[in-house]
Amino acid sequence: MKNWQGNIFLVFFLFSIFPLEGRSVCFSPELKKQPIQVDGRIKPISVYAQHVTTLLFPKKMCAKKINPTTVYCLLSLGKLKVLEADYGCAFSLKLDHTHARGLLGLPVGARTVSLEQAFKGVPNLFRAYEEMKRVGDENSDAGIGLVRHIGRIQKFQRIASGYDWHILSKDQTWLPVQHIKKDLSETDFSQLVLGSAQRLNPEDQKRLSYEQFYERLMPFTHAMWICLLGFLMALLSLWVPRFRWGMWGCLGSLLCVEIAGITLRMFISGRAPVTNMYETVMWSGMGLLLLSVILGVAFNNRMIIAVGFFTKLLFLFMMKFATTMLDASIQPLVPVLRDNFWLSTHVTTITLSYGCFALSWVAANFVLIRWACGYSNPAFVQMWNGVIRAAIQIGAVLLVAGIILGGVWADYSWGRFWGWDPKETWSLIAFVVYIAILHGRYVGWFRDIVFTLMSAFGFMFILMTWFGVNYVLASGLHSYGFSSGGTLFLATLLLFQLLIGVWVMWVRINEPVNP
Amino acid sequence: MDMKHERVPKKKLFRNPILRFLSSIKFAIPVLFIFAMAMAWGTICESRFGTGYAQRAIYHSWWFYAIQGCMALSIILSFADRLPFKRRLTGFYMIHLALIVMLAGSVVTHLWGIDGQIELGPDSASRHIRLNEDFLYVFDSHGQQVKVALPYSANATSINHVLRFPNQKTITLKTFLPFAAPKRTWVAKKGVWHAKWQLKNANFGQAFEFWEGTLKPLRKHDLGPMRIRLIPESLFEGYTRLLKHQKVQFLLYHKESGTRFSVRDLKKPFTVQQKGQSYQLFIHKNKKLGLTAYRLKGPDRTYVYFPQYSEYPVGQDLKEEREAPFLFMDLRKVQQKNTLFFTRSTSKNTMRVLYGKGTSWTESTDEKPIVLPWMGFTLSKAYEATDRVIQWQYEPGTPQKKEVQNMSALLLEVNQKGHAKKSYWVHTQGVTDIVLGDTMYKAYVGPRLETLPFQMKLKEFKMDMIPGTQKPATFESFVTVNTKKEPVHIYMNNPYNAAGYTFYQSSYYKDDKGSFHSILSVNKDPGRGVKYGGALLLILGLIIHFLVLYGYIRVGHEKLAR
Repeated sequence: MKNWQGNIFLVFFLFSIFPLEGRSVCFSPELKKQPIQVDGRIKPISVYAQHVTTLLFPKKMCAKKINPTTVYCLLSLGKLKVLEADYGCAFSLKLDHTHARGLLGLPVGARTVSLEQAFKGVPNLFRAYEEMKRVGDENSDAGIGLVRHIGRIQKFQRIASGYDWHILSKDQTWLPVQHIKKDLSETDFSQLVLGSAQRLNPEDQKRLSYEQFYERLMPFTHAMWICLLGFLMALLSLWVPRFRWGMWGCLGSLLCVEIAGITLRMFISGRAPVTNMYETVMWSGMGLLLLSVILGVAFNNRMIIAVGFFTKLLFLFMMKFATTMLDASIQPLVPVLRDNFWLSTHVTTITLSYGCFALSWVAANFVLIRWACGYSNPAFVQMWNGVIRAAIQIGAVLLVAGIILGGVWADYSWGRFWGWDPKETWSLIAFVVYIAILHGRYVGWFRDIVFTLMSAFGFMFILMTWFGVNYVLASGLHSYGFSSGGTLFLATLLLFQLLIGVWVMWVRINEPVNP
Repeated sequence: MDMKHERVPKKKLFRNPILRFLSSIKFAIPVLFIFAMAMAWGTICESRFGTGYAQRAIYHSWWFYAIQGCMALSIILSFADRLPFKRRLTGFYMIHLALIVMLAGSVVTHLWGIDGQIELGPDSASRHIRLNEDFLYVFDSHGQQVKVALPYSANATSINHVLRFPNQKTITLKTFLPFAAPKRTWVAKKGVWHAKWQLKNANFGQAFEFWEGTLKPLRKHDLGPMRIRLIPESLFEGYTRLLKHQKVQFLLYHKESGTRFSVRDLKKPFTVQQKGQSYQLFIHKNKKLGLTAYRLKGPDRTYVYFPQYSEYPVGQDLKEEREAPFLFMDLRKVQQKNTLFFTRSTSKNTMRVLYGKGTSWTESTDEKPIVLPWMGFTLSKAYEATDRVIQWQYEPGTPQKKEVQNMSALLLEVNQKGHAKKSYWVHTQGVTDIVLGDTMYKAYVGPRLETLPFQMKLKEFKMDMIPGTQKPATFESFVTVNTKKEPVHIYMNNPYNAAGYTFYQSSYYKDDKGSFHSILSVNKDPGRGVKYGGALLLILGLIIHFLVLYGYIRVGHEKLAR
C-alpha cells in the first residue's frame, strides 16, 4: 500500500512504452452510444455488438469478463491477439446445425467449431448449399440452418477484416472502419468514432436513443418475471381471495411493460409490431392475456385468468429462450410487407386469433389432465368447455376476418384473392377444422371430454399454420434431421398432445360404465 | 339448449332420406375434415414437388372441385332446410349465404377471370400475357398457326386429338406429359460421328459436343480463359510438333505429305522444296493497318496467311482457303490463350487431345479423365459414337420445386397417305421440326397467350436497396403504354388498371447483358365484387350469430341459453 504512487508510475510508464495502438476507443464508455449501420439499419453499437457476440460465439469464451462492445471494437480493429493475450479469449464459433457438423467433419455433439476448422470447411458448406439451391430446398429448416452457419463464418471474417463496422464519416457517408482508420491518427480516429452520434440527423438520433433505451429496459424479460408472479398470485387467489389484488397489480404492470416494449419497437422500426415470428408471439401473447381476463370476468372465475397467465408465460419463455426460432432483432422489411395499413390490420387480426386458440389449447389440456387424473366432475368440464368454446368462437371470427383481410391485401398487391399459398391454405385448414369441431359439438358428436380433446388437437393446426409452414413445410419431407429449433419444437408439442390424447382415451375406455 | 330445440323442427322440408342426410351436419362434418385433409396434402405436395404440381394434382383436380361441390351442396341444402325465415337464425342465414356467395364468386373468377404474367424487357414492346395453361403450337413455313389446348393435368394424359392438314395429312396428339424427363436413346445412322466431353473443376462445369468436325458447345463457346478447337488430324500433328519442341515460333506444314518445316528466321525469305516444287515464304508488314501477313509464293500462285487468325491462307473474299497445300502456324496464338486441341484420328478410330502449358505439352487418347494444368480442370469424355445418333425420348418425370427445371412434352403421331406413321416429341424447351410430305412444320409446347388491347414497353426499371446491403427494398417499373401519353408507374402495392386488367409488380430478373426485365402479374377478376360482398356478409353474420347465441341480442321472445 505504501508505494501505490510508485505503482501508478509504473502503469503510466508501461503505457508510454506500449501505446494503445488505436484501441483506446474500444474502452471508452461513450462508444456504446455510437451508431453503426448494419443490415440496412442504424443501431447503437452496443445493441449490435451484443447481438453479434451471442450470434457468433459460445457463452464462455473469454477467461476475463469483457464487454461485447469492446470485443467487437477490438476485433474490428484487427486486435484479435490482444483479446487472446489480455483476456484469455479462445475464439471459436457457435455450431447448432447437425448437417454442418457433418460437413465440417466434427462429431455429432460438437457445439463449437474452431476458427481454423470453420474457414477450412466453408467450400464444403457452400457446395452443400448450392446443391440445396439447385433442387429448390434452400428455404428448408436445414437450408436456413446452413445459411446461418455460413453467415456466422462470413460475419466473423467481415468483422475481423474491418469491413463490418461502418462509421458515419464527416461527410455523412457510412464507411467501413478499415478505410477510415487508415489515414487517421489515434486521437483523430477516436474523436471521429465518439462524435458520430452527434452527426446523425435528429430523427435517427431519436431512434438510436429509443433502441438503446429498449435494450436497457429489457421489457419482455421483465414481463416474464411479472407474468410468473402474476400466475402465482392468480393461483393463490383461488384459496386466499386477498391475493387477487396482487394478481390485478401484476396484470396492470405486465400490460404497462408490454405496451411500453411494443410502443418502443414501433418507434424504432416505424411500423406495426407484427413483422416477424418474435413480434407475432409478442402481440398474440398480449391478446390472449386480455382475452383470458375478459373471459375470467364474464365467467366469474379467476382460474381462467390463471390459465391466461400461464399461457402468456409460455409465450414469454419462447421469446426469451427460443432464440434460434424467434429472432428478437429489428430488421428492415421485405418489399411486399411495406404497407403499414394492411400490416397492422391483417397480421394483428390473425395473430390475435392465434392467441385465442392458444388460450383454448392450454385450457383444454388443463381440463384433460385434471380429468384424466380424476380431479374433475361433469360441471367442471361443462364450465371449462364453455370457456374453450367461447375462446374458439372469438378466435374463429378473428381468424376468418384475418384470412379475408389477407385475401384483400393479396388481391390488392399480388392480384389474387386466393392462390393456395401454403400459409393461406393452412390458415383455412385450421379454420375448417375448428368449424368442424364447433359443428360436431352442435350436433352432439363431440361432447364433454371429447370436445375438450378435439379442441386441444385443433391447436396443432394453428401451430402448423403459425410455425409449421415456415419451419417444416419449406423443408419438404426429404430433409431429415431436426436441425434448427422449429421442427423439433413442433414435433415435441405434437408428441405431447398425442400422449395426452392417448392417456385421456385410455382413461375413457377404462371408465366404469356409470348410467 | 338451443340445439335440442332446433333438431326437432315442426316441419321438415326434405322428406327424402338422402336429401335429409345431405342437408344435415352429419354430412357436413366429414366433408369439412376431408376438405382440410386434402388441403394439407396439397401443401405437403407443394413443399415437395413445387407449386405447379400441387396446383395441377390437387387444387385444380376434379376431386378437389368435387369436395368443394359437396360443401356447396351441404351449405345450400342446410340453408334450405331452415326455411322459412326465423329471426333467431339470422346469423346462420348470413354465414351460410355468405359462404355460397363466396363460392359463387370463385366460380366466376375461375371461369371468366385471367391470371397471368407479362414480361417487359428494356427494348421490346409486348402485348401478350402468358397464362398458366399449356398449348401446342404448330406453324407452317408461311407462319400459319394452329393451336390446341392441352389438358391441365398433373400426370401423363392420353389425348388422341387429330389435327387435319391439306392432302389428307394428319397430326395426332397422343400423350401429354406435364412433367417430363428426357431420356437419351441411340438410333443407328450411317456415317455419323459424334462425341461429347466434359470440363469440370470445383466450381465450374461445362459440356461440349463435337459433330463431324464441328464444335457445338452446349452453352457457351469460349470458356473464359480457355479455348477449345477441333482441328483436322494433319493440323493436329503440326501443333503436336510445334508445341512439344517449341524451338521455333512458326511452323509450315505440308498437308499431303505431313512434312513440317520449322521457320526459324524470316529476315530472309524462307525456301521450302516439296514435290520438286519450290515455295518461298516472305514476311509482309502493312504499317497502315498494323497487320503482319505472311506470303507463300508457289509456282503457280501466292497464298496469304494471317496466323494470328487462322492456319489456313485467306483468299480475296476473306475466306479461309481450305484446299491450300500448306498450313502456317503461329505459336503466339496458343500462348495468348490456353487452348485445348481435339482431333479425330481415322486410323485409331478415336479422339486425340493435346493439352499443356508453357513448354510442356502432352497428347492423350486416354479414356480416363485428364487432369489439365489450368485451374484444376479435369477433362473427361462422356461418349464417342460412330454410326449412331442420340434421339431424345420423354418419360414421366418427377416434378421439381423450381419451376424452370420442369418441362412438359407431348407425343405427336404424324400420318400421311403412302408413308409409314412417324412419331415426334414436342416439348417446352425448344422447337421441333416436323416433316409432313413436302412441308416442314415447326411445333412446340408453350403457355396460352392472351392478347392485350394495348402495347406495353418497359421505360425504366428502378430498384432501391436496403442501405448497406444487397437486398432490394423496393422495385418499380415505369411502363409506357401506347394508348397513354404519360408513362405508368407500377410498384409493390401500387398496381395499374386498364381495360379491365390489373398489372402488379411481381418480380424481376437481370439478363446476360445486365439489363433488368420486369415481370408483372396481370389479372382480371370479374368475381371480385361478389367475393368481397360474401366476405363482408360472412364476418357480419358470424358476429351477429355469436351475439345472438350469447344473448347480447334478444330475438323475439326466445331467450337463448348460454
